[in-house]
Amino acid sequence: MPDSTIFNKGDEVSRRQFMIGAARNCLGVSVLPMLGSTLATNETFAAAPPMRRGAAKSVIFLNMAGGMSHLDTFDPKPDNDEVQGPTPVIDTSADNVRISGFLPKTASVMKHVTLLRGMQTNQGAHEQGQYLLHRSYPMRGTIVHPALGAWVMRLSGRRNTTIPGFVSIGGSAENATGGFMGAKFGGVPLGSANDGLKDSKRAHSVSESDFNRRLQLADKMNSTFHGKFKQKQIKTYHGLYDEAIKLMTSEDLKAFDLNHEDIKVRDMYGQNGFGQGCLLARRLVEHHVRFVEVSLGGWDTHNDNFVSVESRCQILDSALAGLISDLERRGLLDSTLVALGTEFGRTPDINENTGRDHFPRAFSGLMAGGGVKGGFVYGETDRKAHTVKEGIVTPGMFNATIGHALGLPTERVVTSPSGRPFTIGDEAKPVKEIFA
Amino acid sequence: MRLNLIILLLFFVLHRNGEAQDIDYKKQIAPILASKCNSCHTAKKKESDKKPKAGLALDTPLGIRSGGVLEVGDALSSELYVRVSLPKTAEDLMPPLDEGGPLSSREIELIKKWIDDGARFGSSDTEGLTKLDDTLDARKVLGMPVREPNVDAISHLEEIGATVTPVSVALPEYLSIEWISTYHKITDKEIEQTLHLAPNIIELDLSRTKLTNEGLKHVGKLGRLTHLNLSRTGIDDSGIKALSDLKSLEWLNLYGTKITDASIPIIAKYRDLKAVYLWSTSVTNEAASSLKKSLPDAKVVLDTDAKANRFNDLDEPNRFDF
Repeated sequence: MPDSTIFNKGDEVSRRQFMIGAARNCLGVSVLPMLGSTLATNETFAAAPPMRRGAAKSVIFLNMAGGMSHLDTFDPKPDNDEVQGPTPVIDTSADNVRISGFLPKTASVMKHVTLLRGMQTNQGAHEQGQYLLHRSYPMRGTIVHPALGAWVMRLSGRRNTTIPGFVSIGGSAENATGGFMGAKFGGVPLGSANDGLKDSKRAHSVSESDFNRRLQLADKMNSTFHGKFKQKQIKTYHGLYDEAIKLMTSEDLKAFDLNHEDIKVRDMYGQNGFGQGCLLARRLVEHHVRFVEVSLGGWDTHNDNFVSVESRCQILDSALAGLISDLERRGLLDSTLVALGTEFGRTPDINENTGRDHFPRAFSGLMAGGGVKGGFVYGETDRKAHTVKEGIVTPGMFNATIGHALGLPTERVVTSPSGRPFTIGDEAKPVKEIFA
Repeated sequence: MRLNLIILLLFFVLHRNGEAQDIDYKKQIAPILASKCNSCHTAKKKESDKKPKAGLALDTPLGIRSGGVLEVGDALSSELYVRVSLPKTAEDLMPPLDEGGPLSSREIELIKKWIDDGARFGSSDTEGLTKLDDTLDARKVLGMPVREPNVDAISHLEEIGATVTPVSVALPEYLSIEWISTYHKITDKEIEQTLHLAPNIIELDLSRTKLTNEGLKHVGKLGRLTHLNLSRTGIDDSGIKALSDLKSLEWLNLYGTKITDASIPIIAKYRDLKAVYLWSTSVTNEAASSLKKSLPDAKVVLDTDAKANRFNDLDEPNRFDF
């Protein structure tokens, strides 16, 4: 019997180590990219169909990690050189909406986008800010809150039952946590889009009959163990085997393989991690994956803000514009919400290193597709981009709005194992004004 | 020896009892919900009815399954169980103390066991299904009353790989049908089975299935369809004709099919159409512009970007058959 203490530690690391070990030792496979918590019951298909009340069926959440400068992207102040610096400003395909000249391709798809220029948070440090952005609740020592994708899983169930319902590409594994809801509701963290689920094949050295026999053995050992130690976590580990097997035999695995994609399309999204991550997100959504997060880091531009933001924007621009136009021509944008968020903005005042520092008081985000208005701006900052004049959107409201787009009951209380009540947006209301 | 026999007998008795304890949704669960939950959690039947509390309708199997409160096989992760099993002092206890709560421990136990055992609503045998009516057509379907969908027909469709969902919790009798993960094995034969739910289906996603022009004849009978996705199927102009009676269509996706300008006059007759997707077909810009003139309120999507981004998966359909 394995050392039981490994099961008592609820943290991600021990759980992951357990899964790697279990999969390798019992099954002769390694499922590295899906370490985190890609677990769901195998009965889901027959018995838990999803719901749909909003227009959106899926969400692609673009996480701009590090704090994206709002002035140099979606909230420029062309009449105020003092804060604007050298960043150019351009017209877009939406009337009266101007954005940074670093985003020319994005400008051409602005007719599909609602800009949120009144984003505001109360967290000024990266870790805390990212935590609040993903989970709607501030960090506490006593509880691990579930990420937004886990909330979506919990409130709606997954639609595709052979591949995970929640996938997080290129960011911290923390972004895919199921928190107190358990690993069952957590996502699959993928390091890089090009890797796909690279190890989810049967090892060559293991024949299929051997493999099945091992599986039966593992099953037997499991049921003995399971009977002795009835714990939620153990049940969840048990799901790993089902999930791993499904992954290996599934047609849906092709969804993870970007080699099926035309080179022109790959170029359109940009031949970089984030661009290919967005392309993978589109493929996963085509396969009915409900929640996909793609992260782009490097926005922490304390030094040389204008050079750094321009280079980030080159990556963002191709990927975002490529994603929106690709979804639209396939008829997927109506049912896919693309949401872009960041933990905070950056100071309107330019510092001595031609940089901008952390600025939680006012910043920008956006949403497109999934029933939101196109060519619309919600919220406004003052002429220095310093204070939100109207249309404040907090991370909780942002997440509640995503839930609302999916038709989820945003007021629904989910109780933690310790009996405390939580909601998807920490009781914040969705911003209904942005929906068409 | 005698002791062994007694133990053996005892075992059988207990075992049989265990089997007899399978929970019957209709007889054991529905009555609890009806007496203790449905005064607040009932779907709107007519305009004047109030909305179900917290967007959760517990009066029909579809309402319960699509309400986000059920994790099949895991009562401890199911809000339906968690909320009724909280201590009496908990603020979030359901039903609330002034509305008949808490449930009896027997009732709570029944709900737990029912969820842990798989939360089954009915039988999945198809004997209860009547034979499909050969004379069914779109007009007939429109004339049929919209009643609560047949649970056995839903089980039957799920059995052959469909995902059946109500389009809205407020309107549980209107259904959306998709073939998630199973699309690559779905042929006209399975698609025909959707006719068992013909009066209820308003959204149908057949994208990437093995649908043929022949199968479109079944689809053409689903008179209440508002959303139809035929993208990346093998259909062409000759099949589209079978869809002429789908007068309620609002959203039609034909991207990646072999249709040409010849299909445009049929599409132009869908007066309620709000969006039609024609990218990666043989439809020309000219025909798309003329369609736009016939349907000024509709979005006609031929290509959203420069031709350089055109994805030529028509030439090699197998290569991109993912």
